[in-house]
Amino acid sequence: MTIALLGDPDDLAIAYLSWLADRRGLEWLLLPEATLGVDWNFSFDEAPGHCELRSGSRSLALSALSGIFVRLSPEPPLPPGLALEGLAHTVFTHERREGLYHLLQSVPCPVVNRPSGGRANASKPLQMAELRAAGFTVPRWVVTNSLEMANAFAAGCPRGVIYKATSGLRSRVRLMDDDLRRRLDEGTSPTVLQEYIPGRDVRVHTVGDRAFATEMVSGGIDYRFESITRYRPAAVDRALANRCCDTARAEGLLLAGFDFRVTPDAEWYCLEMNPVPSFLPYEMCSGEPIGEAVLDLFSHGCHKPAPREGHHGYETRPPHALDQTAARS
Amino acid sequence: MPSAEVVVVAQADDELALGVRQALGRLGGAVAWYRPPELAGLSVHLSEQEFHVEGRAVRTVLWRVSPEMPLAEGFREDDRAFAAAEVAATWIAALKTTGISAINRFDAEAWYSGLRPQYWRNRLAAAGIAVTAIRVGSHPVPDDWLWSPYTTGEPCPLPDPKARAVMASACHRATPLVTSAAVRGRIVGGSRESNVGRAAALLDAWGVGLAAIDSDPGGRVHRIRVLPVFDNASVREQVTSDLGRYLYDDCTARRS
Repeated sequence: MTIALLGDPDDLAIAYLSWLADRRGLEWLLLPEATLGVDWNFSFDEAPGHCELRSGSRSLALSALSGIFVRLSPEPPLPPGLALEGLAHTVFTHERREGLYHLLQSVPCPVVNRPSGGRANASKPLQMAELRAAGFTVPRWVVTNSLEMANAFAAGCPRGVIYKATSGLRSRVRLMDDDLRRRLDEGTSPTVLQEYIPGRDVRVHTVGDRAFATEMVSGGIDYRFESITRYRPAAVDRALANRCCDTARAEGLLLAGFDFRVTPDAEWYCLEMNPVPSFLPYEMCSGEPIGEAVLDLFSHGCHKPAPREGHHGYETRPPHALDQTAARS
Repeated sequence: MPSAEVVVVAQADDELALGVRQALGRLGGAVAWYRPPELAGLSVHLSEQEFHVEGRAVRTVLWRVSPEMPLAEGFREDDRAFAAAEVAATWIAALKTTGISAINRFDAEAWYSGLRPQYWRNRLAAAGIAVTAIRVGSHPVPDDWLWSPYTTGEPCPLPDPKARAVMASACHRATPLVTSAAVRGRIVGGSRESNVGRAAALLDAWGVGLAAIDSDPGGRVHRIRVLPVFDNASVREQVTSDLGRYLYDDCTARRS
């Protein structure tokens, strides 16, 4: 059994999976995006089905791979010795990335995750509508850049309102404040406003048909940005866990991270589904074997997800402007 | 307000959109035209049920926007990328709202894949549509083959083998291509091969009511363009007339 770890060799999840694979005695190939065509390459011919992967002196059929784990850098380096700038740099990196996407969409083995999975995560309102359609309870929301409409929405939310980015760009979730009102008044891009749900944060990771729940305890609105956050294993209702697994599968995701707010009276509000979840902090602190479950998936030969009607693997981005709004000049 | 106001989002010199506006005008319909670069500066309000732009409810949209277009020209330079991502996320969600009909109405998978020709080709192939053969990566290819870059889809001479390997280039035979116009699942002009017709129907089912399908003489699909420009005047006239009629009827029906 051979697995491939494709993308950014500095990514901690890739390093961790390689360590777990070593412990199991699994053979793995590191396929850095930057050295495609230099240290490794692949080829396939759609007509006769010739598909081959070469890495160093090693050559194997793409169909012999048991699984591919993917973590792509938002700013992938150029191949060693190649110097490109400006548009040429942009075009080259886009071409190479699309070539990798072509590979990942074409191979028959399990891929965590294919680029086509969970793409609605890049449009929060679209994803929230889809999560509601999948049976999750989703807090009320609007997207607006109108101060008048924002105030009207807030007036109907006695528990308060949070705001966050509309797109997949990472942003800090904040309670609606004077800063937002000022920006809306001055003119800004549309922002998601959502009813604030008081309660505890729970992340449910799904790996195939398995679900792992972790509770995060912090004193803030957005635990990801708090200096002190405690992680501990949590229990999740079987039916809800199944819904998470079913939804991830329908979105073409073998690994996904669902974020919930759970009220004191045990109502589970789904906030989003992350197609490229950073599972390591949760696993390290709670001890849940998420990485092992990924390797199990590869070992047991999970099939390519059924052809999908929507949605895609979209890279998480590093913290951008932490503000959720952009100012007009 | 006119009986039917269709929202058109397109560049000011988009000939196809201008033709649709003319067709709508002949039917007594009106157009609210927004250029992509001004989208982030518009007042918008989206809920699960409705989408308002500049205070007016949106019902029917002609969307001629690609993910690469600048969408936030009035914003500070260091905020433009963020604002553009935010406004694109808003419109992509809005166009999927049940109360709105749009051509084209891209799903998230398509939009965030960049609407690139290879994406549609792979998706159609996965759905059983016959496609032209390509070789990818460092596979040897004859010297007279061509390379279709993923980013443009425009066939061009082969790069050298090393370059093909580092870009995982997609290469193919130099085949003459037939361009077909697909409007709401029907072929308006071009190939009569059933495979092309099935591709048009599938695209329509995926929200792509307007496309150009490039196929080889046997009807195998080679390339899909979802923001098409039609050089043939009679095809363009047919496309804009059909689209204008559909958009007018849809908008009128949604008002009543």
